[in-house]
Amino acid sequence: MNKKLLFITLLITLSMIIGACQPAEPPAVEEPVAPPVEEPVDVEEPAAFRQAPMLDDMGLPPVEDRLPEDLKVIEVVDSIGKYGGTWNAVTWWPGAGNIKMKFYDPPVRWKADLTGYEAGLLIEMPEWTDDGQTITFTFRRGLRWSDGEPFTTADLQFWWEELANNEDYRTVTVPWWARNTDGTPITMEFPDDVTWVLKFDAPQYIMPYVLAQGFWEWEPLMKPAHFLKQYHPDFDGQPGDEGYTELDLMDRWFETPGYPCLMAWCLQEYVPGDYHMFMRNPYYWKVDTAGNQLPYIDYVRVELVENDEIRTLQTAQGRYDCTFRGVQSPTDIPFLLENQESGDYRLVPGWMDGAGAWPGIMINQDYHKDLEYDPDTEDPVDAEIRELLRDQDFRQGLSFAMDRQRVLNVVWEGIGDIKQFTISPQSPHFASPEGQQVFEDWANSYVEYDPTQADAAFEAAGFVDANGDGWRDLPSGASFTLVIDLNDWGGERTNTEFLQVYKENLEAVGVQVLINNVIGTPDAGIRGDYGLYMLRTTHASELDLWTYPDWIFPVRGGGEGSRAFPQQGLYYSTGGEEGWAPEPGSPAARLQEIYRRGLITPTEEERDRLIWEAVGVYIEQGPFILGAAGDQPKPVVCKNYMRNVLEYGVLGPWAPGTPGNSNPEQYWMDK
Amino acid sequence: MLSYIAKRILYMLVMVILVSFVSFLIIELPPGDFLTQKLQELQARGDRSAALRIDEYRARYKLDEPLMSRYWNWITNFVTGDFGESFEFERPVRDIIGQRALMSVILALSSLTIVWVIAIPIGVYSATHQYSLGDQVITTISFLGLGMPGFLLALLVIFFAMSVLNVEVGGLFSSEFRDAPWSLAKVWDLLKHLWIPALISAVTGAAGLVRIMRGNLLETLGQPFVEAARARGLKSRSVTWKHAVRVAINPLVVILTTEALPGIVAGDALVGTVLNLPTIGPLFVRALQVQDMFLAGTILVFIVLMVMIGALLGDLILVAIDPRIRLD
Repeated sequence: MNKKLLFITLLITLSMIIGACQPAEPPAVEEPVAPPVEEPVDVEEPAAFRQAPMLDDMGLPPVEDRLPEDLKVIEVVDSIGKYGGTWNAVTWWPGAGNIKMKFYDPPVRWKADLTGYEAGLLIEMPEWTDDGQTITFTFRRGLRWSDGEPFTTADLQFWWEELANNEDYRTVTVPWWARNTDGTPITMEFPDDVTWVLKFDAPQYIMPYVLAQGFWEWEPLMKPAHFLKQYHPDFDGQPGDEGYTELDLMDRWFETPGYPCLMAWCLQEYVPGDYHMFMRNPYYWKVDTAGNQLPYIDYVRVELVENDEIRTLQTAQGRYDCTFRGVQSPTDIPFLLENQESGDYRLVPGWMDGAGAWPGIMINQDYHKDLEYDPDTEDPVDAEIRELLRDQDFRQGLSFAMDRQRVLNVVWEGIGDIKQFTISPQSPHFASPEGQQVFEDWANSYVEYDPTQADAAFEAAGFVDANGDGWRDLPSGASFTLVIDLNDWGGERTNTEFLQVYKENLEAVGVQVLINNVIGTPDAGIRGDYGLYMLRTTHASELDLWTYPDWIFPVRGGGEGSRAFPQQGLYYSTGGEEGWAPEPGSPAARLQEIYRRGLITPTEEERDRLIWEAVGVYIEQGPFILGAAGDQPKPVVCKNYMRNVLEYGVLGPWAPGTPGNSNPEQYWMDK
Repeated sequence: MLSYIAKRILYMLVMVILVSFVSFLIIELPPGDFLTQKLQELQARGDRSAALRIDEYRARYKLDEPLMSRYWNWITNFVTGDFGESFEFERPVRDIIGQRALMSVILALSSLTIVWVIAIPIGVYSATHQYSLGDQVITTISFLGLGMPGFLLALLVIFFAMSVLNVEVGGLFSSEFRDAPWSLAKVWDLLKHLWIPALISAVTGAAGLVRIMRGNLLETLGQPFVEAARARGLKSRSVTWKHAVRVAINPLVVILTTEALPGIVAGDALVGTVLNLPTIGPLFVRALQVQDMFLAGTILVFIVLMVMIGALLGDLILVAIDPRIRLD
């Protein structure tokens, strides 16, 4: 489809490679800059406040009265801005997910430098009682919704009592983190306007950070009670099911114009399938150090363009003021660089994918062929295949057989690093020098390309050619074809090109390979979620393994998404009711045990150590997931007049709320 | 005549009901539903609680109800003009189709006009000048046009438009006019963008028509009545246009009515997707991909309706222009 583009991109890359031989270095391959210095804890509150000119004639109360007592002072990235303008951006997802990432504003939030968490809507970080079972959140006093109504814990109480715990209303339910060990809802108390108390029946040290993940954890709680009561059947809405249907329809802040919000911009207009228009929130609770109420930019307009090629071309034409996920592939970087003068934009350095493995391959430790697994009727060959997949020598052989340099050249045109599967290199778990060492060891484990060593490893696993047909057979002598599921996780093109190289690599060491393309088939979800595959392609990235443990801890499975241990993860998540019990001392058993300890460990440093211990299992008994390459940069395209865009971030994982965590409210347009 | 039309309309109604049911069934056929895909999309981005919220979504999209009851609700409301709600856009299907209908009609009519204005004269020229240099050139180009998929051509044209002509690609308006009220300047802006899809459909759509016109006319020109007309001393031009073309154009009338009307609802969807046009075609493709049942089903019903209305119109027009055909 995009052969021509590809060809041109190739040409440009070639010229870049030639160019790279000269002293001048192409910006695309520059190392990301070090995280910016952490902002000081106490920023002095400005003496006087100013507002955007567009608000002057709107008949609003003076800006001092609109700002809360506990306002938040934002330190700008470069300069104090000027008000005005419309930020034109683009998305490919009609469901608005990408759009929501710009308006990231939860109570506890990721710091801009991604080293950890800080208070957002809260005045300070939550506090625990000594037993770790009660958490107290204190919100800023005087916060207001965008229509001027006060935001208090009564809004949260409305969410908890009238929506989440309302049996008649089924589209808002009790979140997974708000449950006791037996699954019943926890106790929530709302002693005053700003205090929110959560009482669990067991120590719970992770929950506040859950609220900081992406747009999806805080979003369900962000309910303006005064607005929703108009539609709620128990208040002023129509009675019965009709009322609940209307409530559900209205209760969508990104689709209902005029829905009161707490973010820098709130929805003004929505044309389905075309664009979203957001307007500044006159009651926004953040100011810059000079006392200017934020945001600087008046409007945000996000248009929907589903076709990747068109989005890339439009971006190269300079149609968008600042786009973070509009162009997805690092291989588009040369093309974008080529056009940056005519498009009057720059590629903002320091923005990475955060890929620990891109592309990567999961080796299913719980392989079984049928959805309904029955050990008695299982074909012995399938059981033997599972044993082989669990054999460490075999897995190491698979890793040594992979020519990662060639993968990097073919798939990424040399952009990125060769490495074993890890989570994101930017993860705070590995920020300390000791952590860095652990990460290095992990990234370098079994990573060298060595067919001889692969051969020896396969021999050790009894994976040899028994019948002399040139292909390796199972230890019992039965012939064997390694089936690799090709999916679109991390991109169809990436995985297709990767598997072409890897298939050649494996065939060169005598492994018969079948690439099973499941893209667009119903198989894709079922085989992946329920662990019916041998190997499957993946893209690995994550910053916080306690809020999203799946990448290394086998704690989920069976349709909830799982990684290398789907059945043993299911066993953990169902409390032993479903799935397979990990054998004592097995990798899955060790990892689950570490995870259990982590949940009741109060300090971050100690929890980091537990992560290192788990990584040790991956190094000693791995690999369980193979990585080919990783840590590619991501194209972030901003017009030259866009100011205060932070030059650091990670766009692969959505959990850290990027780019919203870098305070887009202090971006401004110098034109 | 009237009873014939009434009969045809009755058949149409039965057909639409059947088609709506079968298409509903087919969209439902693959395992999984809209939510399976939505969940995967959310999970791939690290939304840990997505799977745990699945019941909320099921309730929202009413996917927990049985197929027949969902179909029945949809089709009974359909008659009253309520086409259900799109899962993906979370808005009534009627609004979503409505806001794209105007552009779809404009685009379909303009490309249709261009295609026909180009195709018929060229086809006639090609037939009357068989094996001349002009005919050879036209034949070569038509085969190219027939062989080249529209979306590929679209990619090439937009790349050319971008790199050489410096035109803003994608959509039908440039950024300064997209939200502006209608004005002469906006119409001019529309025309500046309209030529790309129109050109693409002209090249890919006209090629086939040229070949059909040429083939039919060649056959007709060899028939005795044409020779007789010539023998009576009629002008060559009048023989060709008044006598031969009128007979040779029959199959084109059928093509016009059965292809053009559904084309208004969902024209070249792939080209539309590539060019990011605000028309119904790309919407339809996407709705099918993500199993957005009511949106896809509604568009499908409209396409079928248009095909059948087109066929009826085609038959009536044939009767009008060709005295040899009678309705029974």
